Amino acid sequence: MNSLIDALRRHSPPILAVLGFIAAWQVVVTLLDVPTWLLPSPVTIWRTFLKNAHMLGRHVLATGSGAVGGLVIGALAGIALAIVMARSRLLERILMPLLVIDQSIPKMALAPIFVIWFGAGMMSRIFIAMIISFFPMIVNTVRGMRSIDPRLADLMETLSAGHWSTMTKVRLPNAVPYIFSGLKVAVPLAIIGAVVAEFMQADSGLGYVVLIAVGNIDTPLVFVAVLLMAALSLALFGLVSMAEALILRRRFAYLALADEPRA
Amino acid sequence: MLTDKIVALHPADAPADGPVAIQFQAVDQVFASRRGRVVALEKITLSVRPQEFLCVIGPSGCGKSTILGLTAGLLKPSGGTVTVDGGSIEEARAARRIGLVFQDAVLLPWRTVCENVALPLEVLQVPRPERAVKIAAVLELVGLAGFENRFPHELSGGMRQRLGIARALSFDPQILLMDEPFGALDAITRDKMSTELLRIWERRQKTVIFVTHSIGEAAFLSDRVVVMTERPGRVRAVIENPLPRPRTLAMRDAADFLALSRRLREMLEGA
Repeated sequence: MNSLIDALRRHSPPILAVLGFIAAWQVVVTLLDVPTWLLPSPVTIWRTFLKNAHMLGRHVLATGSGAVGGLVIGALAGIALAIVMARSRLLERILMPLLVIDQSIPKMALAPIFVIWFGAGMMSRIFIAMIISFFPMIVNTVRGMRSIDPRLADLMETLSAGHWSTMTKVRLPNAVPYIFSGLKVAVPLAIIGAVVAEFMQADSGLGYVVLIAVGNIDTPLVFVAVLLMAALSLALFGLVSMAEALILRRRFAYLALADEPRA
Repeated sequence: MLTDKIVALHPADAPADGPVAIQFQAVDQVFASRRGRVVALEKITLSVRPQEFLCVIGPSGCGKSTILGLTAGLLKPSGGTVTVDGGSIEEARAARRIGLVFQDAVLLPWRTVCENVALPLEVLQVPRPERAVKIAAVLELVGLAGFENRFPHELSGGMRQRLGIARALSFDPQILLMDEPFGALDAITRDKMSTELLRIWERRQKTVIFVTHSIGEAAFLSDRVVVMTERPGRVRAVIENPLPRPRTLAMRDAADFLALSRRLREMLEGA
């Protein structure tokens, strides 16, 4: 009970700030009589949401599953390539500059190409979400695998430990918290990727809803769709944070000790 | 001069009498850095006897730790040879004859005490039941029984160091290489760990090379002390420790101990 009150006290400033912002928005729109097509009021947006709730479900699901699919594949590919790069200096020297070049290419601009390759639908969504979440995953995993104490590598070497053994027993476990950091960066990127695919060409998804709503000058529905994207992103972020807390709580408690001042 | 006499009595490159566990023969170690070549070790000739407790002492940057790196096979000598039991370092490593202990333990923080000790045994593919027996024995030996499921961050500095030693001993290597293992501990814990280490060493009979910058530690622990010069690191003298075993902390007030400490200090200052 006490902890609940504590939590409320801690989180109340941002909650109050958001509520205040919404209230101010409502007041300004009402007082200045801003036309709905220009800027709908929070109440109008909420009504639009309720009116369209029945049809929005499948669009949320389409965007969400595309983003999650891309995120999962991008994460696995990132971790796998990080392992391969740790295996061979040569591969690392070849791949690292390529990755930097890859990161400098605005992938959103390539979206039309991917839609040409994969067509309108789930494949395009997943592919764009994947290539966009891949980079933070590989960079974080490599950093995590490298940040071991070099003397641990020495220790494994004196034991004549194989490369794989050092990887699974020392480098990968050390990278686990870094992998979670990468996932948290990748979640909103994956949502953006999925939506961009839908902007190009789609018959479902929140990006598609935005396109249709803009076509009909239905501004409140645009806001509803964008807010749903944000909610989707937050929900996924929350899931990753929960998984992180579950996995790291016991074995990686020392990280919390390093971050927080000790009581 | 006193110093010269000791050097003459124990010339560093005299042929070893009796069996030799580790042999350094005219070893040079040169590191190439951006600012040029750094000669870390020069013409090091040194014989370590089986089951000997050898301390290496010298000013910082004299290449003390380089000697450990060479013995562990982590570095290749730029000149000369290092042999273990007459064979190559690679053979010794393949035979799992070398255990390492570092200054701040260098544990895996996500593994429990038990799992940290298990690491070398897992790498060496010791079967599970045998592993459990070895872990229990070595934790008992270092006084960590009852702490099996703690994580390193839940242990004191002294206990972490015990864990580091337990991990090095877990697979029963013949040689223990210790790099200032008690350097980060407070004086009281340090004294306690020193006596503990001697007790463990007397029970397990390892050949130990123990690098330190503490004269008191070297005088208390060693059978012989190697005094190094400043860079480039050379062997200034090898000094026999006359103190009888088993050692007790009270011996540090004995005349022999004080004389040895003074000699070591003179040697270091002369370096």
